[in-house]
Amino acid sequence: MEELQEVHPREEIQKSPEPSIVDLKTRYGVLYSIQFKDVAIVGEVSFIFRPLSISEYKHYKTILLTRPHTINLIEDEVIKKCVVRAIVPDLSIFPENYVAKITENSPSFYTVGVDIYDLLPAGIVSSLFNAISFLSYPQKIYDWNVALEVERQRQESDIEYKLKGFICMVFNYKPEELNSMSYRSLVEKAVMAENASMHRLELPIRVVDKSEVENKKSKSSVFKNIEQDAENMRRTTGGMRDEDTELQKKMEQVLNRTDPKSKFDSQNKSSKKVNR
Amino acid sequence: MTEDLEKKALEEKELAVHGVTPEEYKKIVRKQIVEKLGISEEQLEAWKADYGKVVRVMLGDESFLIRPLSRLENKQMNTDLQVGQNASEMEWAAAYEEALIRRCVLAPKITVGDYTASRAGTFSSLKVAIQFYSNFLSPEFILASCDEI
Repeated sequence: MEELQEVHPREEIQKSPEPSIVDLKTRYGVLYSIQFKDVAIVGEVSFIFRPLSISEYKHYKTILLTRPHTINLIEDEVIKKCVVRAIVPDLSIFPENYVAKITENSPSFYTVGVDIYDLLPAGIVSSLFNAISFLSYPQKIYDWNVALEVERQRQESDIEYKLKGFICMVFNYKPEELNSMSYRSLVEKAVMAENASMHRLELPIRVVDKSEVENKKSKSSVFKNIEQDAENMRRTTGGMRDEDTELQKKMEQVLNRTDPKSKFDSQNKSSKKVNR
Repeated sequence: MTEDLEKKALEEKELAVHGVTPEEYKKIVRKQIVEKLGISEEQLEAWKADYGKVVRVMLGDESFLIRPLSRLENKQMNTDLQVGQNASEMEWAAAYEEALIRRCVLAPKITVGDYTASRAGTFSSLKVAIQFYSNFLSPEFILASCDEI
């Protein structure tokens, strides 16, 4: 018989697995990865990191502006805070000679203790710190505009954002709360929002196929060209001619294949001409 | 599989550029180092064991052997340079360059006289090479290397 062992709750906590990438993404919103190849001794190292929050970024920036000589300490702290996964080798991969030489050359730090980051080439941590800084806060107004435009494009092409925005507008939800829902619940809330909404004119929400929109656009541009030709001809000749009627027919053919609204408009136009 | 293809492509490139295989080219470089800089094969191997990587830099008719700088050494250098905290940014940069070259140029031995007698760009170019092999990347390269996941 196996003997049951009592597990102390604290031990259980210690043994709990690291949070998954999905959990980390939910917590921090966005994660980035960076890889360094052909690194001395270790060959290749990779890091997955989160950006700093705005308040964290401003806090570190202020320190660096007032005390630039603290850069190494700040770099270490930011890396410890933001790197959520690091694929770096074990300390044992470094030859004894190497560790001995490096520590011999750095007497002030040897007594404090050496960690893996200290043995890597100097630029890895600095470049990683720079990557975290760049991706944490836009450095120029231009960068803000680019970020806004990229986000606009992303949200424009994604129905999920529209549904979420609509649900949040009608009900008292925060966008983050909607992330934990299944897509069925999201759709359910969206339709409930449609029914409850006073903005009937904006309803119903439809998923628009991009290729369909582009098709429509190209058709309407064909129509515009034909209409422009007809208008020009009318101006130069001062009245209706055979060519005009031909064009009119052409227009009608095109319109029969395009949207009903423009068809309706053209019928109106032709009826006005007859009345005259 | 991809790594094999990459390696093969690299070998072909080396062959096209230098007219020899990578192994043959390494042998030629080693021979040149031994002849020009007066470094023995044993010394070269010892440096490789000590610092992980040794790189030959050619600046015109001059050859230098450099090694990457580790983070611990960089911290030490920054601490040492803080002694003159009132120095201007330019003075600090010059002091950093000097300290970096003193640490990371393995051959030929750099003396105080070399700092004044050498050509103006030699040490700046060596600094760039050392920083490159120590994985200090440009902002553009850093951002291009990051992927959103």
